[in-house]
Amino acid sequence: MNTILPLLISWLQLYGYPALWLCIFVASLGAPLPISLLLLSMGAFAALGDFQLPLLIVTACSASVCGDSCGYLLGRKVGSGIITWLGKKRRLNFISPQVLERSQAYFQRHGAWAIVLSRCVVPALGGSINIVSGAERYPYPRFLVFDISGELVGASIPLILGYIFGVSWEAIGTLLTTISLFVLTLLIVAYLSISLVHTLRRMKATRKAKDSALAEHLSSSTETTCGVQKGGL
Amino acid sequence: MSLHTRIIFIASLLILAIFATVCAAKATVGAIQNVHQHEIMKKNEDVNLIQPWMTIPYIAHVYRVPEQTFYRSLQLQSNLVMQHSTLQVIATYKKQPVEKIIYRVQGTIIAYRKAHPRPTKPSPPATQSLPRGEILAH
Repeated sequence: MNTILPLLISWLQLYGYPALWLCIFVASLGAPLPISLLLLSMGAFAALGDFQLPLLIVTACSASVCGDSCGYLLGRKVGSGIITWLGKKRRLNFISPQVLERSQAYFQRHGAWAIVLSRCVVPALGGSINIVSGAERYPYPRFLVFDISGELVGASIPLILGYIFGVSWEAIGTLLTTISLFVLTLLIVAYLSISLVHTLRRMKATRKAKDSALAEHLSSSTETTCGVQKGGL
Repeated sequence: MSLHTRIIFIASLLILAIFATVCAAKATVGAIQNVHQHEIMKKNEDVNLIQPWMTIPYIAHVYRVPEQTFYRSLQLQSNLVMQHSTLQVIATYKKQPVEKIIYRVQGTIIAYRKAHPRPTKPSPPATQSLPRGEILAH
């Protein structure tokens, strides 16, 4: 068990919702705090009557959204400047302006998934996704909509589970971690499978194109030889 | 990167990812079993479930023992700070290892249970094998 957790719980017990808000806000900015475990424990204490579950959900969501928005702003102010600087000239060997353009277009298309999944499935990536969203100039209203919906699910699940399971919340925390790891690896497997199929198809198409080009070349060369022979005759 | 090299690269990554997925699935099954075990312990009000994050009012609520009993056995004052302190914080305050505090709390619960045995639920009266209509009539 995390040694900082009992101290944090004591602090939250003493100072209540404002302390919880502050903890979650700091964690959303990227501080390594065990927020999921903290929410599970708060859910357990809510079952006892120390806290109100709806109020806990509102506090957790508002703090996360504020922290995420600060991360987004930071990415927009600092990150986008770095990307522009990198894009002007080929500063690093593996980062060309084309690569940056492609990544930007990719994030604009699939950013919503990244934002929602980083709130509910892989919360550890939340801080970086906020900065990347800002740096890639993902539209803020869209970011906010996906962020709020993701956080609503991401904060409610541990709070409700803590409320239901009470004393066993630590075991639930371990279960949530393993489930999120399982989902993450499953997503990676799906992505790699799709990418493998695409590459195999491309290879087939290239081979086909090569074969047809060779056949065309052979037929044209036979025609020319025949023409020359006919001309000779 | 040629297509051949790319395929080999993706295939090796895929194998690794599948291996990781199997490991994660195994860990998830283990975690589910752990939750199940915890639930059984909770149902039996097992004192081994006491953890450093618990506060005295929380333990009192879960194990149905008056709060004052714990304050007395731990020689603490029942004030607002102590009511909101976890066992870890109490251990720091008393300059003792948390395990010792947990052990004392467990002992207090066991002693209280011995002194106040819970009344067992009376078993429902055995119905004789009467036809359904007769049971309803009774």
